[in-house]
Amino acid sequence: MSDQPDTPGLSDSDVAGILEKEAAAYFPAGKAANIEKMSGGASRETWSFDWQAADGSSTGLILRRDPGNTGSTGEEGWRGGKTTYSLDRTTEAELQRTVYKAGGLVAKVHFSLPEDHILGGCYVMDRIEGEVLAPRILRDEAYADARKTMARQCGEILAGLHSVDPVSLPKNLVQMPVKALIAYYRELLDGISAFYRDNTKVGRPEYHPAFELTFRWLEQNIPKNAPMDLVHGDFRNGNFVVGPQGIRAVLDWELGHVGDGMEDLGWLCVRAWRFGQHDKPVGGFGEREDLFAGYENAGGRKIEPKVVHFWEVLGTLKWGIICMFQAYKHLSGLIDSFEHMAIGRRACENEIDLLKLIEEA
Amino acid sequence: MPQDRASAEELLGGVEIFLRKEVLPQLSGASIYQCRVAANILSIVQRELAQGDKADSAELQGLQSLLGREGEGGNSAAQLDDLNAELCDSIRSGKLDGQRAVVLNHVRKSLQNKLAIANPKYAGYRESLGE
Repeated sequence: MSDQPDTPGLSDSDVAGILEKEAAAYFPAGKAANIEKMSGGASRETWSFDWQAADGSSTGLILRRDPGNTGSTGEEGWRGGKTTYSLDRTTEAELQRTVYKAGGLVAKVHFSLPEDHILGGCYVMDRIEGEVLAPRILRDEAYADARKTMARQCGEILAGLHSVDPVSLPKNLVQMPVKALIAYYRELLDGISAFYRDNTKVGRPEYHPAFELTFRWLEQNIPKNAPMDLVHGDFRNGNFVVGPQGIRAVLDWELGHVGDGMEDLGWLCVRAWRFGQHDKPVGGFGEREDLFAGYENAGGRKIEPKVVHFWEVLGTLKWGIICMFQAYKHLSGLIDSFEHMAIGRRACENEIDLLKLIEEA
Repeated sequence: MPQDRASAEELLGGVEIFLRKEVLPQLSGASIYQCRVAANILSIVQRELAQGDKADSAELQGLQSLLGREGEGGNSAAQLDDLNAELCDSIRSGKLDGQRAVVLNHVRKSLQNKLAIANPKYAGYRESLGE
């Protein structure tokens, strides 16, 4: 994509060469083959390769890195800086290791390299084969059986994730209790609007009364006694590797944080992640009853549907403000992408949905 | 003196059809998606040219009757900003808590007009119209 500047001075073949050298230092004698930069992933670069050992065995692997290790690509940036709870690659690798050790459905991490490495902070993990593209998972015949079990399976996976011992988590994992999350999105909304008023030719702020109604509703409905669990932060269709029998691995741990685990269940039900399959509230593939039953039967806390609804409301608000943010990134010059500009016109889709969600409650 | 034909809407419509019928079939890979987005943008702007003024004046009237004043600023854009700022502040401070139904009604109508321009096919919009 046009908005991903490459690391200055580091060509694709440089990356491949350095990757092979680093892999050689970690794996038993052998060589790297089929090194390939994959598409997809807006802010991350993903490389696929195989390690072919001298004994003839071959391991499929993935390298996950930031394209530019200096400065922001804008993808994760608010005013060009880091979001308050987006993990660096090293911490993300550490989190994945913790979840793997706890028996979670996540790719095994082999090694990671620190931020000051020439490749930037990055890590190498097992490549789990399967489908990642949500629309295919929702429509292809090959995943018909998978779709029947995925809602329950999501509940089971999340129950395991939310019971990971907090003591075992990376020390710099951010705590994002509900009030901190709300404050974060409040600041984003106000900041973007002020930027439009003060720094663009149009010179007008942007008003979103439906978001205001939602913020008000959220304030008045904050769940009591929320626990502090490990939260994936972006648990949804699109971040699952799926095979014919169901989910094989959960990807993309960079928004991992400590907060109310119900956040993950609510986010999974947000309409944007149904990819047009509106009659299936859980990710476009399943029913809430199955999600909740899977969660409780796998040892998760008793579900209060009202609390999950609260998080679905907050998730829909988040997505709406992220739509604004996509346009902001282009209009503020962080990136050059007319597609991002157009996403700003989708904020109102979330607003009309929010009116219904806060009226239902 | 107005511009000659073709009108702005007509011009955009012509380019949109060119993109969809002529350009799109020749593309491959990521540019297929980008071309679709480009054509969609042109259709949004055509709808905005056709319906935007009406939507803005309906929103202004709704705000004026909800908040009981004309709005400062001398032109309708400034009045809209002034009244929307008051609406948002009043929702935020809780001042409008007692008039929730009226506020929801106004906001829903404004959003419906907005979506009729931005994405009239959106399922949530069709649902809000009772379809």
